[in-house]
Amino acid sequence: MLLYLIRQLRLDMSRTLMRGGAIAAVVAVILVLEGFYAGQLVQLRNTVLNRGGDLIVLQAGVSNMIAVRSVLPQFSRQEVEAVDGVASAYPLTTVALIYEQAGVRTPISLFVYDTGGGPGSLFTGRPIEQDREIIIDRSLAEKYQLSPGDVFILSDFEFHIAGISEGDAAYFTSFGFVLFDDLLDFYFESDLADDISTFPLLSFLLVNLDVGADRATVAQRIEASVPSADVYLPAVLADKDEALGRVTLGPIFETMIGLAYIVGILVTGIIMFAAINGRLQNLGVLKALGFSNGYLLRFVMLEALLLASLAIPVGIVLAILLGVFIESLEPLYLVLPTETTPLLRTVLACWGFAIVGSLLPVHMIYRLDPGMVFRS
Amino acid sequence: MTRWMLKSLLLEPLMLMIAIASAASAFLLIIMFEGIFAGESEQIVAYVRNVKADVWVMQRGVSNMHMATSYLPDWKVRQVQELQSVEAVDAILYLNTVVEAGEHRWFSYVVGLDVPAAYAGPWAMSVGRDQPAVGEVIVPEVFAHMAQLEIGSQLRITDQEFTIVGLSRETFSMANSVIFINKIDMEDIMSSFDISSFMLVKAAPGVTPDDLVETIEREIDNVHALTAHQFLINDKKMAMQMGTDTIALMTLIGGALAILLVAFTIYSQVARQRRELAVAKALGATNRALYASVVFQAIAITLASVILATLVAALLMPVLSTLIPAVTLRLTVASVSKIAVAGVFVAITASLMPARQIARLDPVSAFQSGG
Repeated sequence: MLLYLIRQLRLDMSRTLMRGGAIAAVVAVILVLEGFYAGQLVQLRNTVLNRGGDLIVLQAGVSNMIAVRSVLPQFSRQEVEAVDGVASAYPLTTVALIYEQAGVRTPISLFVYDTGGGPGSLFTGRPIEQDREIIIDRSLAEKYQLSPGDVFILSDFEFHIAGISEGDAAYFTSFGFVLFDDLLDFYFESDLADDISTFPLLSFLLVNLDVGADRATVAQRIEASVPSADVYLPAVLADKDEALGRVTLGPIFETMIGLAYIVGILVTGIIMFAAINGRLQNLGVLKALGFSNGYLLRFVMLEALLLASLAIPVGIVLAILLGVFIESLEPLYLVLPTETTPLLRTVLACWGFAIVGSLLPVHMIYRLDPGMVFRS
Repeated sequence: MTRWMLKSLLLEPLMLMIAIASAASAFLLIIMFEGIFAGESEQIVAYVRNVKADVWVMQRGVSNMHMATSYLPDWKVRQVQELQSVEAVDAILYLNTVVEAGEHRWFSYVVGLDVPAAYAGPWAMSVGRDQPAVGEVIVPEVFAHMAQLEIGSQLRITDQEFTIVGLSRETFSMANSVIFINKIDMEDIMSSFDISSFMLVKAAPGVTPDDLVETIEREIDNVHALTAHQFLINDKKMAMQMGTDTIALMTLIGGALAILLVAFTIYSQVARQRRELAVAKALGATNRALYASVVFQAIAITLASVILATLVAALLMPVLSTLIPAVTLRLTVASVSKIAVAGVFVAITASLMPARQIARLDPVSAFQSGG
């Protein structure tokens, strides 16, 4: 049966290629849409996980790092460092700002750090070594064609770009990194508000523990001694940011992915239906030769599965290429089209589409009159 | 000629229906994606678009609301109120943060209202009050529905509890749902007092928004004033970068798939008629007639597909809006027209490829076996 099937597919190569190509395109688009969503969630998680620390201290009642305002009292660093089991606590502050160049405005999150919590990995340039230097993410650098050494004016305050980092963006926002030494200068000399008391001086503390100290115990001790703060394990805070991403972005992304799946079923079904309908004559010959309806049904199902199986790897490669293309075009996005769960879901769905599509014309096979072969 | 074109189109009704269904599926995908894009693009600036200000005043250097940080001392609000060309000023203090209700968490724009606010508060209420007192909050009806909240339910912003006293309409969107609290509470949350983020200014009778902008910027130091129209344009531009551009990119990818599928459908439909068209050529039909026939078929199938997809989308959108209230969908004539034009262009291009092969055929081949 398999040999006959392969011969059938090779018989009209251009049509087989078109049908396979259409299914591969459906697979690629679903994987890219899934990859977009997965990428957004990974970016949200990485924002927390890339900052380091064994524990993260936030304002009480705040349980996210991204897109929220957390303000800790200035003296909380000393209070946290005084807790038994804490080796050190590094301050981190985030400020939402808008960068403008030649009339083009882009929202950025400015991370102000001391020794920990800085950029993830440098793409080019060097770490900050001098006053008034900044490291910006590649997405921002490429958008404005900025390089190390260039001037970066933020709210009328002049920074110089020391380096370009990679993977420091989330929630459609690029990150910038400056040192705490420059924060007060920035607040006083920039054209931010007249009253800088409205801006946070300390948002988070990244806590490193003594060797052998238990995270949960130390977290409880910190919360007891600093009532204005909540303490999270980085992985837990990352989970919360991912959960927020799912709530905020999920409905839109899931609706779009769901629609793509529905259209995928329709298209694959229609392609299979048309293919079988176009070969009724051949199937009639087989029926006239004594092959049963069950055999013909297995035959068309196997053909559909074979075509889908050939199309799926092509679709995956297409999705990877599309993802790379999108990321090179717009580094703000992370596209992960080969994440295990979405990939498995898409492959299974594609086989499902193919089977459903091949079963659509089942009544035509059952009602097929073998005599038609001899009448035509 | 027209009769022949119609006849060849309707020669295989089942295959015609398959072609229309196939292309309609592709169009349905892109129409729905466009619907999401159009809906979210409008909803993301719902607050700025709906409040009845003539001019927005903010901190110098700021020119939109989305993701912007603007702080103005309250004495500047009083200075603006005293200007002759000003009829009224509503000052707001706002913050983007996460609100929590039980297990439900949502990213929101929290607007602190200087109560009583004449026009800076919710513009359409579903139920309850539109002026929050201290400790009270007004939330979008959609949010309340999703989190199973009602009037009297509790909600948390940072570490403060609020009681829901009103449910607003048209204030929910993916990126910035708008909730309203009292400005006194907002100052507490931000630990910053006697400040505002924006002034929403109404011009005195006879004063144009442009004149008012000029007056405010001349009379008040270190502020930036914009007409409501310009502020909306700026805010939409910024908000689009924060989410809707992604939807646009996804729509583009969906569109590429739709184009491919439409091209595939039309190509297959025309290619299937190769033999019949070759016979027609052998019987004297000119190349021009053959091209006219395939182009006619391509246009007919495409338009029928777009109409079918639009009808299905029109039926599907209210169902989806009920099932997934967090997604705002909007079917616009502009979107459908744009898709139809692109579809017809793609279909004609795809149909001309097999038609060209037929036009080059030797008419005699039609009568040869297997021709």
